[in-house]
Amino acid sequence: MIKLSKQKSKTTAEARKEKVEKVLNDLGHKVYNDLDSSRFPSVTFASRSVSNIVYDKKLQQFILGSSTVKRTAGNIKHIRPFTQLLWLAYFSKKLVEEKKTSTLRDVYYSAQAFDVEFQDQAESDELITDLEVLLGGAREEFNVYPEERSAIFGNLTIEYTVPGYEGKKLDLSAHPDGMMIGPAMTTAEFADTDAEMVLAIEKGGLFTRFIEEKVHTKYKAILINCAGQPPRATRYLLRRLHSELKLPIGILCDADPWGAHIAMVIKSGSANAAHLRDLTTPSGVWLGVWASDIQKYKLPSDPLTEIDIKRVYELKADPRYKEKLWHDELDTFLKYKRKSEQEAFSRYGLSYIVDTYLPEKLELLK
Amino acid sequence: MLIDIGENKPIILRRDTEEANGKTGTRVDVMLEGDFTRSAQKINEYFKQTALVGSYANLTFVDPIGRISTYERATEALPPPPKETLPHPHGVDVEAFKRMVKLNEEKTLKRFMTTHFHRIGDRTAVKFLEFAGIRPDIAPEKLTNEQAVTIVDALQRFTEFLPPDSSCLSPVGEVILGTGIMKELEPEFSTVVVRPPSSYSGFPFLVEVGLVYGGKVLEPGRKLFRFANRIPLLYDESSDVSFKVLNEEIDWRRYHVPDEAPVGVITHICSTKVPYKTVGKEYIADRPEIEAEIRNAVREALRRLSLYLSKKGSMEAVQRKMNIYGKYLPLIAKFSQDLAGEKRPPKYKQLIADEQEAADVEEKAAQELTVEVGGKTGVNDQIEQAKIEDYS
Repeated sequence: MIKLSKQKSKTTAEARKEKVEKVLNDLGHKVYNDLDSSRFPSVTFASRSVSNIVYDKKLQQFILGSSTVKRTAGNIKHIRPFTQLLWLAYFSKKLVEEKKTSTLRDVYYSAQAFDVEFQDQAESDELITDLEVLLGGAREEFNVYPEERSAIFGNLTIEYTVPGYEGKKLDLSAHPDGMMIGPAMTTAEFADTDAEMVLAIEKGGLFTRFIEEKVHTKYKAILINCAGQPPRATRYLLRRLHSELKLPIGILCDADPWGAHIAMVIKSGSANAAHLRDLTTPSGVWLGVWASDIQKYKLPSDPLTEIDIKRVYELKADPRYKEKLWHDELDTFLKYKRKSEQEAFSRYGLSYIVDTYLPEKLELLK
Repeated sequence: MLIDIGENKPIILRRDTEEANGKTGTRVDVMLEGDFTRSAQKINEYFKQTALVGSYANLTFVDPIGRISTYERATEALPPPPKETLPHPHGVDVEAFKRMVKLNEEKTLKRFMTTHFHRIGDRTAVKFLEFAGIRPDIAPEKLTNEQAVTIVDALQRFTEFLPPDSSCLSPVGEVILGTGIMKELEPEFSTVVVRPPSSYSGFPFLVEVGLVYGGKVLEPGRKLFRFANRIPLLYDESSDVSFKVLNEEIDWRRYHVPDEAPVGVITHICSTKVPYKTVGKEYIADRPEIEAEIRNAVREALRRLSLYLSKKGSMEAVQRKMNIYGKYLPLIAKFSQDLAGEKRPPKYKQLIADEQEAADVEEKAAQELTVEVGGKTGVNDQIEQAKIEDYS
């Protein structure tokens, strides 16, 4: 049983808030001073164009290269997005100050009250990403969250830091459906746990099966339902579970190129978030289900579709898939052209995956 | 009253006198018989178009069910009345020549030539008769049929006649046409091009073109108004020379006038003999001389329209830009003030003022540039012509 220092954690949350307030304030001053001296304000930040996204071997994730874009209020094509960007900063400041959160959709609607309305949510999402690049932080730091939520379950007690719940504790094994990973969960401090590992699972079906089969006590595992490609909040939480609690992270997905990539994104991020750090867990381990497991465990399988095969080739071109395990598994996909879902293990009985498959795979975490 | 078509003289049936009551001018009342229900639309159109070229007259139309349409006089100017003129030698055929000889009272052919033709003096008469191979002292009534044919043939071929002068023409003129356009079409832009007089086959003619853009009356698309000697031509538009020029010879894209732009083109052909294609006198033949004059006039008018549109475009762009600054800079000021935590708003208004000043300078430059562009169109003409030659 690890007892965690409450004092230290609280300072982390405070420091984060202070940092965000400072970058927002700096931006405000820069624009304010420009206007005050009759200059058109402008901002310069790293370009997010495909050609400027490069893989950094040391960080083991995609990062933005050296080319930049400049957005100036003097250019009438830029002035609207510039104003919207500044509004987003202004809106974020309000959120952070008042310790409120907002979803991406909320942001889109809130803009309408300020005469800076976005054409659609895609446009506002795009500008939120610009703000992240400009200010060097994830939108979650500015209290803006996406809609989709994944879930967590296990022997872990958290302590909330959100307004109205400060100091309140919650045992994450209290509810058998798992607990939603939202802003309150992401910012909560870890109070205590006896877990020895974290298992990130692609789909809700297997997540529930694991809870029913008591994987959390049998293997002392914290279970996370990624619900497909995990949202950033979930990736951020995974990273914290690893770095703050020193727990190994194992990832279980379907045996298809899409599942493989979920594991990869948890490990080393996505190109879309190349401007962000702290969302990756490079030491995460892809436990399965591998392409080779389909043969090894004689799993029921379906043929790969054309889109699946195209995806395999795309992944083969990704530098991160050069590593032997990943490279070989992609080749196995191409060799047999078959895929299987996690649920395929059910042909050997409902507990087979927990009693037989999982122990073999967990060897990889040691 | 009736008209003697042969003599072009009135036959007066009854004469009455009426008090003028201090009014001056000429008033003409005409009553016509016809099938009104079938042609009402064309008749109304006829009046509207007549008002377009006749802004110097009051027009009142009382239709059979008593509805009154009036078109008010809008200018004091009057078109120059045409002067009576002798026929030009190029325009005379054997039939006409014989008729002239029959009515002649001169003793010699030379005298006959100088008194019966337009711009022929003694010297030209002698030179011509020598060219035709007919003795100048011969009595005109003694001419044989063959000699008459020889002379008419020579009249066509002889190149030293002076061109016809235009004093016999009565163009509408820039002022009257311009006034009619403003009154009837209320356009956003209009221009009138009056070409110098020219001639075809010995008949003097003159082309006037009005070009109209936008405004209250015109609908999207091109509309053509055709006139011959100030008479509206309402039928068979697509057989007319003006239609051919507008639709086959003018490259509208070059003047940046899209097909759906609300554009009206008024063509007026004024001549001692309008070359109608048929006896119905509804459309004008494509005589090369007339076609060329219409083309030149329309091109000139389009250059002016193009210039106007580009000037308007650049002014609108500046206005749009200032509107955008006016909308967003206050917001930027507000958000930055809040983010920076400052007490007073930043002085952004100076920035807008500076920008307005710069825009004014820019606009001036843009105007100068459009003049230049207008001038360059001629160069493009040549380039395009050169290209066409290359292909041939």
